[in-house]
Amino acid sequence: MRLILTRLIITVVAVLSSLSAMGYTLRVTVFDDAEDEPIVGASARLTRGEAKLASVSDADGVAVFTKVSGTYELVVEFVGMSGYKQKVSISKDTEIVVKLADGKALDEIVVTATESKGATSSSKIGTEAMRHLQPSSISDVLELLPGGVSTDPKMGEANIVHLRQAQPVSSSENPDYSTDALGTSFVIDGVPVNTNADMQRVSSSQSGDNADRSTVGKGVDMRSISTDDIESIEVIRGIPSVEYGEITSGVVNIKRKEGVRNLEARFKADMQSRLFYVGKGFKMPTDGWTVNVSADYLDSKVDPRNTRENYKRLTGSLRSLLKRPVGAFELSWNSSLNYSGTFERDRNDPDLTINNTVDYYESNNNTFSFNNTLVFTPDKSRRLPTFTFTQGFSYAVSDLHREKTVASSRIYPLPVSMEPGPHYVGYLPMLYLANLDVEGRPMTAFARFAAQYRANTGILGHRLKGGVEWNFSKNYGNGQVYDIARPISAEMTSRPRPFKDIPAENQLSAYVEEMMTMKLGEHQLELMAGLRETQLMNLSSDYYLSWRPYIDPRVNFSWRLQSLMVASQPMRFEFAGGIGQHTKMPVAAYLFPDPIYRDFSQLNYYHNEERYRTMNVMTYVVDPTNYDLRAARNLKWEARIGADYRGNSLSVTYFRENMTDGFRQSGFVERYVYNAYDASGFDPYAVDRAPTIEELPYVEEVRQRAETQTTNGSRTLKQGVEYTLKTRRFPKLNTVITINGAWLRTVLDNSQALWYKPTVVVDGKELQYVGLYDDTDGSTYESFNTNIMFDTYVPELKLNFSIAMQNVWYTSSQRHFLTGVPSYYLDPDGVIHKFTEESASDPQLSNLIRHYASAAFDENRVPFASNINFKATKKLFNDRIDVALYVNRILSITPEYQRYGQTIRRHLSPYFGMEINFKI
Amino acid sequence: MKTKTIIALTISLLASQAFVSCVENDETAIVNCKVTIKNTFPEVIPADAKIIDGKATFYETNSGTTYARDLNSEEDLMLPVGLYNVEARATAEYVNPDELTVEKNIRASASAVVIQADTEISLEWFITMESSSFIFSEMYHTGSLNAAGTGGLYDHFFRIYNNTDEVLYADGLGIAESSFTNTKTTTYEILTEANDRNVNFTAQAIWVIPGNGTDVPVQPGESLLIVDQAIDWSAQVEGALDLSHADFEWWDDNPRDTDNPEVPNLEKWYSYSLTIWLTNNQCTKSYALVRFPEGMTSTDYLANYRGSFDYISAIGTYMTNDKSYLIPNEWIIDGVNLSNKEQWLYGALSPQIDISYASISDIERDPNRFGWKHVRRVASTAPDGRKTLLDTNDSATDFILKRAKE
Repeated sequence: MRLILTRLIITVVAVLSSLSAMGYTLRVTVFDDAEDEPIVGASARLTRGEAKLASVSDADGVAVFTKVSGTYELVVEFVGMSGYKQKVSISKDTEIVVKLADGKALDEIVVTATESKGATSSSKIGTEAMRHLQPSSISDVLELLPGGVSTDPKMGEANIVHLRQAQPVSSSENPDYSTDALGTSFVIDGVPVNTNADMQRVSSSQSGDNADRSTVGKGVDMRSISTDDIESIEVIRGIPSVEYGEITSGVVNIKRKEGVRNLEARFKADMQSRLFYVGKGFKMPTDGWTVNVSADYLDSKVDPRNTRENYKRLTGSLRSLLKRPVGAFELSWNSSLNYSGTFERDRNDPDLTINNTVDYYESNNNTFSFNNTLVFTPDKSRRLPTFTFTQGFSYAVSDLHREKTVASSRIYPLPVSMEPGPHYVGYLPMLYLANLDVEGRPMTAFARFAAQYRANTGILGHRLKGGVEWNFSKNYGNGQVYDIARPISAEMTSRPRPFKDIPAENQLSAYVEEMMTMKLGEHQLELMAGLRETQLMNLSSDYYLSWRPYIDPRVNFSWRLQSLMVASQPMRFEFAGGIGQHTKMPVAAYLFPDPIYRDFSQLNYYHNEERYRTMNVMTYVVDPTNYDLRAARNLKWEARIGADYRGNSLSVTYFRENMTDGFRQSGFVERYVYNAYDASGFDPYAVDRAPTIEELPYVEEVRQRAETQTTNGSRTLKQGVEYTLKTRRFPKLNTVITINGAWLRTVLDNSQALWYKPTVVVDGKELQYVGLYDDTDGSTYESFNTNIMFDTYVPELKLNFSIAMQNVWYTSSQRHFLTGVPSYYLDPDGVIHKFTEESASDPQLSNLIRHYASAAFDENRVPFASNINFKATKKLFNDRIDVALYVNRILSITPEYQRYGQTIRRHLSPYFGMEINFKI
Repeated sequence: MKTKTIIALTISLLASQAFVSCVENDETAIVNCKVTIKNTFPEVIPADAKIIDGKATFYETNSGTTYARDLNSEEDLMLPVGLYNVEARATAEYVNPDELTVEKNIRASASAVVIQADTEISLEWFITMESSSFIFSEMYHTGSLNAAGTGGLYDHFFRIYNNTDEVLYADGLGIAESSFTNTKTTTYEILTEANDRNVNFTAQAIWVIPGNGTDVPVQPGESLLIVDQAIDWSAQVEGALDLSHADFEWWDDNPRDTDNPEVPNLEKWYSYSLTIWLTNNQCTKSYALVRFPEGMTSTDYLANYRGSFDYISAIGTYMTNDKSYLIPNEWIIDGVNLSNKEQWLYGALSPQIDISYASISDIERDPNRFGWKHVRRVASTAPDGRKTLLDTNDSATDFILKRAKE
């Protein structure tokens, strides 16, 4: 530390002494062109021959050079922004305003994600990076985050997001740990995508029917977001500003293109899909008014050999931007009308079907949204706040249609009662055509009023933000619509419920945030601290969550050290960190679950004579609502170190996130009482009719079952180190080397003891004891990867190509040790006992002991694998045409390995695609 | 042979390009190797016993070719390179301690034997037992075609036959289904000793015929028909069976099952699932007929024979199963392994109970398997018409396939 200080002092002295005693003052004000906000910490340099002067912009974005005169070259740079380079002549005190735009530096094409320099860790992905990556949907873009590796598109299932997770949780596996995906907010032009009213699924215990296509409780299906209209994506992996709510994990902040633009068209084809895009930005007759229109179509075959299973996406948007002065303010009014349609189809091959049977799945989703953002920016001279009003509205018409020939394999009694009590039931026919529709009409509305105010006091710069936000969601659909007597699968036992019976979810939030910047010499300190308060309104007072306020404090800070001169070039270090609480409210499907219907056979009399047949069941309707359900909360903290030197940058982040109350389906014990009627003494021939329950003797039977409801019983603990090292573009070679990757460790386990009953029949009856287990499941996942990418730009050829070597050093999973012995058990009378050694030898109770092989807790480690991906883009005809191609896994190295004496071989096949872009 | 050994050998076979001292026939490029047999006898037969009438069949699994060889031949035993399943039967002749010459029928089998060079094959012989008890005479697990013709109905049944010349009582008799699958789909190595098939049969479902010991007499040559749903299926779907007059049905306490008041139910001692118990229509499990020890109640049994086990799955992960019970092999009076030919790997029953398997089809999930049942061959017919069925503990020989609906 002392050494650094000494060096700093020497540097400062050297710089000061080199200044001439005479001259003028040059004030360079640096603005972010898009945000219209001053940039703090931008580096400004003046050069003339050997003479070099450097300064850094302060809280107002001002970098000052004193005692200068004559002609200099002024260079202004800020990481992640385009650079500024201009000759300036100074013959008097001069003020220059420099506006930096997002993205590339001078002559620079950035084809990777850029680590942010702000207080929180985030990755910024620009247009060039996306063009080079050639994505079909936003899920492809996540490859660019630290820890990401290329994967083939999976268009046959929902693509759910997973940030900083060692084991990507797929949409179908591990539904108990999907809160992490649910708690990742997708914000498009300032309006968050609200999926709380999504209930689109076929609820059937047996069929597992297309469960991997459903996103209920899993957040956004990334397949549905096209990338072509996107100007930039910022993925906030760290602690987001309190502006962002309804999150546990992070934010994917999407900014779409605006302003006058050429007609752009894109055609892409890869092994599964074809994509077409067209877009243009017009200048309207009125001053300051531009309109953008665009449309995009994706046709994807899940398996190219199978033309009957496909996924199609059609999006279109009309966006208007109007800028005009209103009093002391300049108004910027952004308005957009958007349509997004996804169409999924899966039907059996008519040539292969037996006897013209039908099996058809179709899911169409048409979402319309209308959003407005009005920003009132005060005149620079006035000390007034900036006001922002954002409004969002969306309505989706989601129709899932299922059609299937059901040929029953058994005679099934068919209980269909929606009411509790005893009922006589009929039988399912042996053959019928079943139809099922799931009609979802989720509507969401969003409104936010926000203000921002800047002030400077001495060396301190302040930026105050505050806002109030209202979030509404309700599904007006009819839900599952089908003939209950002709279910889509013979085994199906669920019963329909209209979505519109479920009340709306109303959420009110408010936030306030202060960002303080301090300039101490050349040191920059930034502190961002905020509070966000959220509650659910109009929820019945039976719920714990009714009006229950949740407060999320979040703090981020960064300290950019004074430059060190190393070989007469500045080197800057940055330390940053943050800690914050994040809250995600449960979705409607969790707050208002479908009732559970249970039927118990009271009289089962399938006589050989049809007229004597009868069957009576006792129906129970159980409400699995968990009134004690809480919000899911994630406490995150992180620490980061960054360094910049001669256009090379390094960033290393350590993070830890602990969410102990993720949503989970957990058991609760329900007790059912019914009568078992004894018809053995009944002679149907004597009375020539079937028996009725009133005339038969009976015994009372009790059954205990472990039913499931949503609780806060899942823990997700994420830890890791993310790193990115990016070199400058080496001259001559014109190559940038980017090395990024992550070591990630994710622990998934249950955070609450769980009721569980093994599904076994012991001695003629289903097991009547239910165990309470402290440890029911839990695994630790790890992964460590390093991606090394060489991207080369040849300006003469306008050719950009990259070779990425994606090394996964290892991945591992390990189950946590489980004893398998319950701590307590519930006996058939509903009394709780401690589970003792005696219990373990009881013929019934011993079945509660879950057996685990000791080796089941061994670590399953998959060793090194490496892929080489190749991508190239070339501009033709004055940049009017852009052609690109990519081959993932052009070469892959996957050494075989041994596991329990078996040789495991891995095979990977290449995946490729190409595209052409027009700019006219 | 253990699974991992099989895999290792298969790999080494496939990988190996060098054949040592085998005879190559230039024209056909078939490489023949000399095979020698090492005999291992059970304890009661001395090691110097003489093998007479020894016959072996070598089934080459890749080509599907069967080679029959005489074990008493003077010539060298030559076989082409390949992966073999071996079946052998013979008579062992030896002098017992009382100095009498004894002949015993013996059998042996070996699976996944790799022949890629001159090889010595070890055959572990055992004495074949003749049954004098109840046996499975018919099994119907594919079901008749459903109304759409897309799959099978559950008009499944077991027929239990009195193969003796005296009256037998079926009450207390158990039918057990194996936890293990006999096909390659779930290749695994069982790690728990108690689940060794030569000691115990690991069952996932056990059903027992009710009664007090003399309630269910079965005359010689008569049988019991035990069904899932005692229903006249032919009234529901054309071509299905009429099982409305079955002797017993297995009824599950489940609102989706039917119960015929005129057909008594089996007792359900144990099942791994709460759903309706269905016999596997791909025919990949084994079934055992169990005579529990005198006086054993379900409570006694369930308290003492839990059979949780550990195993390594085909993809190399450690797995456990805690929904199983053990049945000592001494209690088993008959057993049948089922499989298809394509996927047959390893029987869940001890080879002493069933050395082979009753095949349902050449390929897995053969859509043409529906409507076929396994029927035991007739060994002899007495003058009074009573048939004695073939029971050589070799289901491949003992059973044939017949249409369920004549």
